[in-house]
Amino acid sequence: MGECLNIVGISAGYHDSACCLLRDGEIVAAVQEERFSRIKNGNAFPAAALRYCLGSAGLTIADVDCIAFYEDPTLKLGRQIWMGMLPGLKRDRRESIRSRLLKPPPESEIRRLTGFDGAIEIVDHHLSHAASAYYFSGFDEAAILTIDGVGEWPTTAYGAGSGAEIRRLAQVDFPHSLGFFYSAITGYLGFEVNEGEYKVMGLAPYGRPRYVNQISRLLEDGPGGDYRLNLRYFSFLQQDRMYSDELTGLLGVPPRSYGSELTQDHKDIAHSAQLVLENILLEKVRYLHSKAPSENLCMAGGVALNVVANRRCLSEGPFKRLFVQPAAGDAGSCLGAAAVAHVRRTGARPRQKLMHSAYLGPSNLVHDTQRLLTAAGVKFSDYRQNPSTLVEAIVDKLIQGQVIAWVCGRMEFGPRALGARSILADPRRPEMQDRINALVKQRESFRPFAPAVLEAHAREHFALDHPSPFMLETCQVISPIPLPAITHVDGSARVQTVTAETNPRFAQLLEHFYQRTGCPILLNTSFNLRGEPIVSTVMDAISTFGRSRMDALVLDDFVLEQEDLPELWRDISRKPQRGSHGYAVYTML
Amino acid sequence: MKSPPEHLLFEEESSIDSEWLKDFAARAARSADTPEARRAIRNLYLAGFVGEAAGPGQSRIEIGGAGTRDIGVWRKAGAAANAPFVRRPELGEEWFYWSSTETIPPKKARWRVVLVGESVARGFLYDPDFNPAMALEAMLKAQLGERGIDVIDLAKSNQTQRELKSMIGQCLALRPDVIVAFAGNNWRPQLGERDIPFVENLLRTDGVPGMKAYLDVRREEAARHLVRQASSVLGPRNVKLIWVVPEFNLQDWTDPVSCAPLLGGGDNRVWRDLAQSARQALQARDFALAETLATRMMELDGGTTSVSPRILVECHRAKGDAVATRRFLEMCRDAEGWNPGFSYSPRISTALQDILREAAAIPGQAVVDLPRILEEQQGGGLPGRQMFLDYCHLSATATNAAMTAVGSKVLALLTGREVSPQKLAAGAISPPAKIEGKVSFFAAVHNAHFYQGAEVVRYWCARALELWPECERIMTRYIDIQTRRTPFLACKSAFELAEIDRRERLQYLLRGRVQRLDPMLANVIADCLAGARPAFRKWLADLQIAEHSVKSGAKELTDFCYASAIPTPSERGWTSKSFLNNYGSRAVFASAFDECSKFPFVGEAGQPVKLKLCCRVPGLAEPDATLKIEVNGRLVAQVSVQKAWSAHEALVPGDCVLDGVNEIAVTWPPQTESYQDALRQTSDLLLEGQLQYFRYVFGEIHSLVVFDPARPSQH
Repeated sequence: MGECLNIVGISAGYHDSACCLLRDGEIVAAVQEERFSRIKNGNAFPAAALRYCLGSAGLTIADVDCIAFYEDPTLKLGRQIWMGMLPGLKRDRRESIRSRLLKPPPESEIRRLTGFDGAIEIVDHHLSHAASAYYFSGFDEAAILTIDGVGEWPTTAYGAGSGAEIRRLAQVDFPHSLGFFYSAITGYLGFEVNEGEYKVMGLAPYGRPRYVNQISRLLEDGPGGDYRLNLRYFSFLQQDRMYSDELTGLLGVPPRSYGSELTQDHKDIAHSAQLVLENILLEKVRYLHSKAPSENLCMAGGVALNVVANRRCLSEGPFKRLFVQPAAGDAGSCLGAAAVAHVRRTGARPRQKLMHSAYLGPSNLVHDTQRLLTAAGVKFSDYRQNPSTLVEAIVDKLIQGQVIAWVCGRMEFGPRALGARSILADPRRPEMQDRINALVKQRESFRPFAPAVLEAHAREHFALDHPSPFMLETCQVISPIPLPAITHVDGSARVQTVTAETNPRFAQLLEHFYQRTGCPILLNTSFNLRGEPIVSTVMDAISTFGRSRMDALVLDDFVLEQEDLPELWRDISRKPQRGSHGYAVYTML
Repeated sequence: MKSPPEHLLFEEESSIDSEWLKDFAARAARSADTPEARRAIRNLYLAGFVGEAAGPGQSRIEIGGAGTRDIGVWRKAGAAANAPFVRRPELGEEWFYWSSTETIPPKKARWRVVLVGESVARGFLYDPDFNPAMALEAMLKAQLGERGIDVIDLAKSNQTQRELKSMIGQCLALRPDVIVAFAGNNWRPQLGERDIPFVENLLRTDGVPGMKAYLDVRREEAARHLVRQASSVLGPRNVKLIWVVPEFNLQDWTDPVSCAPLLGGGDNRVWRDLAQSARQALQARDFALAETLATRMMELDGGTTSVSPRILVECHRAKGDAVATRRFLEMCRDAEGWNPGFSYSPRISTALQDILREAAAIPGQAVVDLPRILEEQQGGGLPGRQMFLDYCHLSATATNAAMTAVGSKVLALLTGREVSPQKLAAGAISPPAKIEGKVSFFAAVHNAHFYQGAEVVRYWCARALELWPECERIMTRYIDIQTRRTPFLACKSAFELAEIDRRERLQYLLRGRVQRLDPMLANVIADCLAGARPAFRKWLADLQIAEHSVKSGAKELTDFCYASAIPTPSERGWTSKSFLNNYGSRAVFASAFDECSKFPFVGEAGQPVKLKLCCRVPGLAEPDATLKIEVNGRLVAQVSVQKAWSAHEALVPGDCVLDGVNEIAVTWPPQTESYQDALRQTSDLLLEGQLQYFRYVFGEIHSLVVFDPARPSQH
């Protein structure tokens, strides 16, 4: 093993802990810890993820050359100390800042928990984000924009990549943060901060821009890449709440309480906030292009998961191509940290220039699945001898309007299910959105489901001129087939394009569905219950399937029907556990 | 008349831009973020100069009353003063720890008794079919009539001392006349931040014995404080309190330890030599020499390991000295309760028993001295398996003996009448043979999983089958589940178990939800079923091979499934990422606290096996040293190991492999680092707030994988 350069990347301690293995510059494995711990967005040290990553390559800790950590704890401590010095700080906030001073630093924790005694590379948080996008974008050079809540000091960073080098051109520092701007609106609208931002994005098309003037006052555009938050409308510096009472006064609408009815005002606020975000992003993307005049743009950080804004940046901005890494949030920055460590040690950029697929997590061994189903004495169909008939059988079910839980191959890295741990359904059926919500997702009815489409047919149905393998862009639905289950109220959809090269079984399923129906598209949403992480193992899948009322479960070469499930399986899962993210305030410590 | 204020308070305002502080904060962070600076900050914090001052804390007890909303897992159903308390569905995950009572009614009987306490009071392994509250209520109602008295069961398994204190206050909302507190086994040593400056200093100078002495004092102070606080709360309200002093299974229980923890002054080396000589003397039946050596060991270890008093037990047993035997058995029990981060099993110490006994002198409080009662019950013998299911949980016989004594005290406190225990015992209830049979099997499992030997496990299995032959159905299905790699609730046997018994009772078997290769328990069951189910052993062997043989894929032996089955006492000091009673470590590697570590794996006779070991010896002073790997007692490899991680492969020849469970023994290089260095490092880490095992680490294993050499790609 000694001849290979094995670098482990770790992001942990904040939220969305994850681990990856970069072997001679190739991504071997990457997975979030939540998939093992079953604690959504968990921040615990990714011990199980590390074990998986090493095991997937047959490595031990003795084979690891370097561990890269995704943020600089000293820089972060500086920001935390500064926060602790602010006047009017509540006692418990000060206490929690002090506790940071007393905790062992991440480097010590890594050594204590892994026993690793080799080199540890500390990589600046926004550099980790930038590297996670740029080095695996397939571009030889690109402008890079990273935007999130906060890392150490920066909240927005403008950069340029060329070959192995990433340069930072400018940055915006805490507390001025587009991520926090959007999180404040998220909290105001009664959604969970650092979790419900995509709900605001989904709600926006239902509204009108009635509050644009007011919400624009939350942000002051600055020269170049700069901008500032108008801090009178925010209280996250002192309190456990993102927005101040002055925001309530400004908007003239009381903050929505969690779970209460969504009014037109709430929809209009969401719409206006989304518009303000898009406008300033577009502005900043233009600024970035002026400093880094490339045709290529790479984006990462939590705000880069705002697919609607991404679309505008690409369609109205100066760049011709956009790459967003599928795990654009903090989880994915372990990849960037590992890539930077690779560059520091070799002087060259990682050999893998393009991240072809996000299927970097564990798979289930077919004989283990068979053993499990046999031991349970449960009725199941075995398609090992002729897998193509499985696809045909599932297409039959989809056409009949059944909802299919689909577990095939290696699990996706990142927040999106891309046909490895998915719920699938016929997108042509108007009732399907409500049905899936009733059966399993139990999510807000305003949120659309996404389509997966055969790449070869994507242009016939969507206004999309390039592949979108990671479901990180939206575009208008132009299909001649009505697709009510995946078309948002504004006529858009968040598209995943599928090829046989990256996911042959899923592509085969889409192909068969196309041959039978003329529709090369399936509704594809993540296979999880509300508040739980996406499933990983066969038992996760069975447990989730059993507690939902979906019609059939595909486990690689095996299929189970809901009615054949033993009663005991319906309540075997642990209670969903609350994630580690804050509810009322972004946990910026 | 209100006097005018002597001063007015004005908030000062500042318009100075906080942005200016950013550079300062960044520099402060840089200067604070070095190992030395962090240590200094932490030390100042522990000294009370950063943030809260160090020193004794405060505790408060909520006094239950008409406004009380919640008691344990029950919530008041409505605002009326006499509204019942109803079990909260949202706390369903916690129900297992409490009584299965759905509703706690308002007080209607003339008198009310509330029982609080830990799993012993819960009736662990019997509940909900039988428990102390049921036994007590039956006896009292026989005396006072159905409407004369009721007993409310608020005992909770796993209850801490803090929770007990809280419950004593809260339960006043139920208007009890008497509270019975049956607790003390879970009063573990607490190592809070305010203790660290004391403890780390004692550790440096006196080793773990110094720390234990301190923690014992703190624990005893806390117990006295609890007794006093209970008196302050209950006395003015004229609510009587009866303490039941817990007892321990002195006769049967053994703690799986073979080394002393870190001792002061480099005494471990001397202690180890003495221990080796004492064991040899015992083998040679030279009890006088063994006693001398063990006494010297105890002087060095300060009562921090049961190894030395255990040798003295053997010496005095041989002499027929029952009093000394009991005394040293009590020392064995008390020796292993010092580690704040790790527990072999709950227990109460002699000192805590005595503190509870002292409560008898407090007005309004009374004491039931269970150790004395059980001793009398047995005619002076040691408490053993007749009275205990495991370390501290009572048999039905002992439960009834305890509750008879409690009932007698309750009647005396409420009515002033003295009722003889014999008369009270006439109203006792006892579980039927079927329940006793099931409980016996649960006890077998519990003992096996708490590292007890095959003899005691065999006793409980045999008793289970004798009392309820149909228990065989539970046993076989349980072993079927344990032996499979399929998650247990996906096993057909789990469905069948659920049909045989109530789900809530099966929690005793399936609560951990993690299977383990259970070779000792499985073998004992196979022995016990040899007559009734002669094919069981063959079926078991086939299933073990089908599920666990390396032919079915590589196996990581540090996984809980295998590491939990470490068969001999020398390895039971292991703590790893996957051990259930490991409080502190979240590390992804395992640490060895003994010179030899043994792991089971399942093989097939004649089929070679390859193993890959990734390990290190953290305390190694030399550049490298030799580590021995044996399989089934035969040396298969000697490898050179270092302070850093290194991976090694070894081929186990087919003629060395047995059908079924085999044993890999890893013998670490002789200890080379000085114990003082280990002690110093432990103290330093404690200052950093990291929980420690306080033991010398002989080696660490990141992974130990066995695989089929013909299919290396599997690995």
